[in-house]
Amino acid sequence: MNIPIDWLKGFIKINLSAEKLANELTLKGFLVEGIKKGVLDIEPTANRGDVLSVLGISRELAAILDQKITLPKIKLVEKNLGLSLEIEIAENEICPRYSFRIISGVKVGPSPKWLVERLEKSDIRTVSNIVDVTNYVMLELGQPLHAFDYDKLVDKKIIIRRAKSGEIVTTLDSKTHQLGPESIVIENHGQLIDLAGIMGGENSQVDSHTKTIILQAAIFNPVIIRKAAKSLRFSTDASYRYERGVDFAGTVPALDRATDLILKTAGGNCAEIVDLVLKSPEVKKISVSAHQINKLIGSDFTNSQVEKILKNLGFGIKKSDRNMIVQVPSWRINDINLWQDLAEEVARIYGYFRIPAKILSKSQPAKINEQFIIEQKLADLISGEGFLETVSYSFLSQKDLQAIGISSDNCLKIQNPLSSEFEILRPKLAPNLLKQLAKNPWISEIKMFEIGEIFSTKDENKEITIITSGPAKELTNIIKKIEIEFKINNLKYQLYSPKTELLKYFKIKKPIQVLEIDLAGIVQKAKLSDQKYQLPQKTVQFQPISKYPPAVRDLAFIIDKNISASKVRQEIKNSDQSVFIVELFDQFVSDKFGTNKKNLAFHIWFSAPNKTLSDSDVTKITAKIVANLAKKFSAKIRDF
Amino acid sequence: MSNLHPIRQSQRKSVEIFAKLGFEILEGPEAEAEWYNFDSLRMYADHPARDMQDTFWLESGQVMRTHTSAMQVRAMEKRRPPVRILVPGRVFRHEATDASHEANFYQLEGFAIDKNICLADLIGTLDFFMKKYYGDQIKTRVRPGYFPFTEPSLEMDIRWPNSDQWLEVLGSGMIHPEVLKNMRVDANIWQGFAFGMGIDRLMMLESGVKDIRLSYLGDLRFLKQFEVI
Repeated sequence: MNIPIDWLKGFIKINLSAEKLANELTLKGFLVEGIKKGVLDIEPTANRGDVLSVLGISRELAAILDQKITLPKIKLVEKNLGLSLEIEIAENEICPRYSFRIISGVKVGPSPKWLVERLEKSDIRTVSNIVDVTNYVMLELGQPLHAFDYDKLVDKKIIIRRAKSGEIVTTLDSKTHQLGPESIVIENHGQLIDLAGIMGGENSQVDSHTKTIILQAAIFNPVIIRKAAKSLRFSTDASYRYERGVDFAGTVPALDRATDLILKTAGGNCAEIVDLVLKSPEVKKISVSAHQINKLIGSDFTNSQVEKILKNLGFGIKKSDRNMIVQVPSWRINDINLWQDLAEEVARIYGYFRIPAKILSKSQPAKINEQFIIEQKLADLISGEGFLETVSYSFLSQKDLQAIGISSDNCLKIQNPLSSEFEILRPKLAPNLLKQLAKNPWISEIKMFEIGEIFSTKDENKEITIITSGPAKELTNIIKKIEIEFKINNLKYQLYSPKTELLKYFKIKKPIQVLEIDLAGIVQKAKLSDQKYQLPQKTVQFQPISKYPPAVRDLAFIIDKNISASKVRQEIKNSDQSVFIVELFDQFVSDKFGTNKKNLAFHIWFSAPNKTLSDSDVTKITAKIVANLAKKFSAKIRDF
Repeated sequence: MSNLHPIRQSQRKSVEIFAKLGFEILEGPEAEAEWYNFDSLRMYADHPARDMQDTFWLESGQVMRTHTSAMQVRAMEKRRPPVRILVPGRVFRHEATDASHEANFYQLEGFAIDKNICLADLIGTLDFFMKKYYGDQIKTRVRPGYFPFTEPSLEMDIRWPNSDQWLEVLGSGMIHPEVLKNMRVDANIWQGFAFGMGIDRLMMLESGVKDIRLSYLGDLRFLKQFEVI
C-alpha cells in the first residue's frame, strides 16, 4: 500500500525524516518495505482493515507520536434538487448501511493536477474528475465510494440483493461475470448495474455526458464480498477493503469529503445525504487492568500509561474499581475482541523492543523422542558409509506412478496441483531419487539416500531409501550395520534392481540398486544404547553452482604419512579457482610407496562460472595441482 | 566424514539449542485435517487471514499442512500443561516456485505453556536462540506482527553487524486464548508462547545459499558442499 508522506501531513504534524518515520511505523506494527520519492510502501496485516487509508495510518501515528489528528473541514450547502431514489435492501445482513447523495449539474472532465499526482503516487490511473474523487476519498478515508449516472437508471428505484445463480453482470472494465448466490448486486429495472463491493456496472457508469450522479457509500458484508471476489477471481481496491472491514461510522464523512471535492472540481449542486442504517454493530466494551496486561507481557505498565495509549488510539475509557472499561472505536470492532487484544495495543505502541527480555526458567529435561533419535542415527550411519543425503519433492506425476507400477487408487491426490508433474503424493521415495540421480550425468559413481514421508490412502509413514550405482553388497552391508546398531534381528527391507525399462524412463544409463526400509519397522524393534548423533561443528560457506556442467577427475598422490588428508585437500582447492569440490575417496599406508609414505586419492570437481571446461583446460589445472603439491608436500602423483 | 543434507544439519543445530531449554521434540502428519491446520488456529475459511497461506488441497478433503503450527492443538490432545514442545517438519505452500519460494520446505515450531510464561520470555528465548545459532555478533529486532493464533503477535528480524539490512526470520506470539480453549487448556490459569521459523531460511542465511530450490534438486554440486567432519 502506497502512502505519500505529504498526504499524511494534512492529518498530522510530522517532524521526522522519511527514514525515521518508516522505522517508527515498522517497529509499531506496520512494516514499511520501501520509501520512494516521499511515498511509503506499507505492508498492512490482514486484521487491520482500518489502516488501509491515509486517515488510518494517521490515527496510528497519533498514538505513536502522541499527537492529535486534524480532519478536513467541510462546509456544504445542501439543496432540495427535487430528485428522488428509492432503495430496497433485500437482507439487512448483506448491506447493513447504505448512505448516498445526489449531485446534479456536474461537468465531467479531467481532474486537476494535484489530484492526478496523488492518485499516481498510489498507483491509480486517472479517469475523470468524478471517478478520480471517489478513488481519492477511498485512499484518504478508507471508505470505498461509487458514482452512478442518475439518468441511466430506467426508473428511480434500485434493489440491493444477493445475486441469483447464473446472473450476469458487466463491470466498468467491460468484463462479464457469471455470478453465484455468494455475491451482492444492485438491480435497476431488471438490469444489474453494480457488482456491489467489487466494481460498478458498465451500464450505469459516469461518462462525459453525465449531468447528475448518485454518490454511494455503503457497508457490505465482508464475508460475502470475500466469497464473491474469490469465486470470481476478481479483486479490486474496494473489495480488498470490504473484505478486511470498513468503518461502519465512516460513510457520511466520506460522502461529505467527496461531495466537497466534486463540487470544487466538477461544479454542481448537492442534495442532503440519505442514510439508511439497517443494522448497527454492537457497541463493544472490554474490561482490562494494567495488572492483567503486565502478567501477559512481562511489563510494568501503570494504569495511567495503559489509559493514555488506548485513548490516543481512539478507545473510550471508563473506570470501575480496579479495572477500566474500554470502549472499542467503530473502526476497530473487527479486530478487537478480548483484553489480550488491548494488551497487544498497549505493548505495541509502547514498543516491543523496550520490553526487558527474559529467558525461560529451568525445567525438567524433556521426554526423549526415540523415533527422532533413531532417524538421526540412521542418517549418520548411512552417510558414514559414503552415501550422500538428499531430499526430494513430496509429489509425483501420474506417469511416474504408472512407470513404477503402482495403482493411483492407493495414492493420495492433490486437488489443485501446481502442474501435472505434481499430482500425486509420493507412495515411495525411489522415483524422485532416481530422477535426481539422472540429473548428475557427469559422475560415474553415485550413492544417495533420503529419509522422508510417504503416503497412501490409508496412512503416512517415513521411509528410508538408499540407491547406489555400485554393487548390491554396499546395501546389504548397510542392513547388517543397522541390525547391529539397533540390535535388531531380521530387519524387514526391500532390495531390488530397477528393470531396464524403468531406468530408461528415468533416463539412467547404468544399473542401479535400491534399498527401501520402513522407519516404523526399525523404531518398533530398536534398542537404543544412547541418544547421541552428530552435531554440525562448522558453518559451510556455499559456492554458487555454475550453469555449465562440471568435469570430474581422480588424482592419487604418494605423500608423507604424517601430512593430514584435510591439509592436502585444502591445498588442492587453493591451487586454482576452478577447483570446486575435493573429495577424499581412498587413503592407505603401504611399504611399496617407500618408508613413512601413504597413498591419498581424490575425486576433484572442476567448474567455471562462464563456460564448460575443455579437456585441455582440465589437464592444465591438474598440472598446476600436481606442481603445487610437489612444492608444498613433496607429493608425487601416482598412476592408476 | 559424512554428508548430511544441510536442512538436516540446520534442524539438528536448532533442535539442540531448544533441547537444552527442556523442549520435547514431536513430529506430526504432513497430510493434515483442515481443523488442525486452520480452524483450530482461528484461520477460518471466510477470513482474509486464510490468504496468508496458499494451500494444497487433497481429494480426500485434507490439506497439506501449511505450517508446523498444525501440531499445536494435536499435540495437546495427549498432554497437559506445563509443556515445552518443538515440532520440526516439512510444510507445503501452493505457490509458483522461484528463488525464494518452494512448494515444500521445512519449518520449526515451538511452543511453551505454563502459569507465568509471558511475552518477555518469548523475546528473550528467541534472542537466545538466534545468538546460539548465528553467534553473539548477530543483532535481533522485535516488532508487532499478525497471526490469527497468537495475541499479541510478534515478528523477529536479524541483522549482521556489518549490514544495515534487517532480515525477517520468524513469526511468534502469545498463544491466543481461543487456541488454548481448543487445546482444552484453561486460559484463566495457563498462558504460553508459540513461534515458527523456516529451517530453509535459517540454513540459507547461514551458508549464503540464495536459491531455496537447490535443496530439493539433488544436484551433487550442491549436496557435496555440506560435508560434516
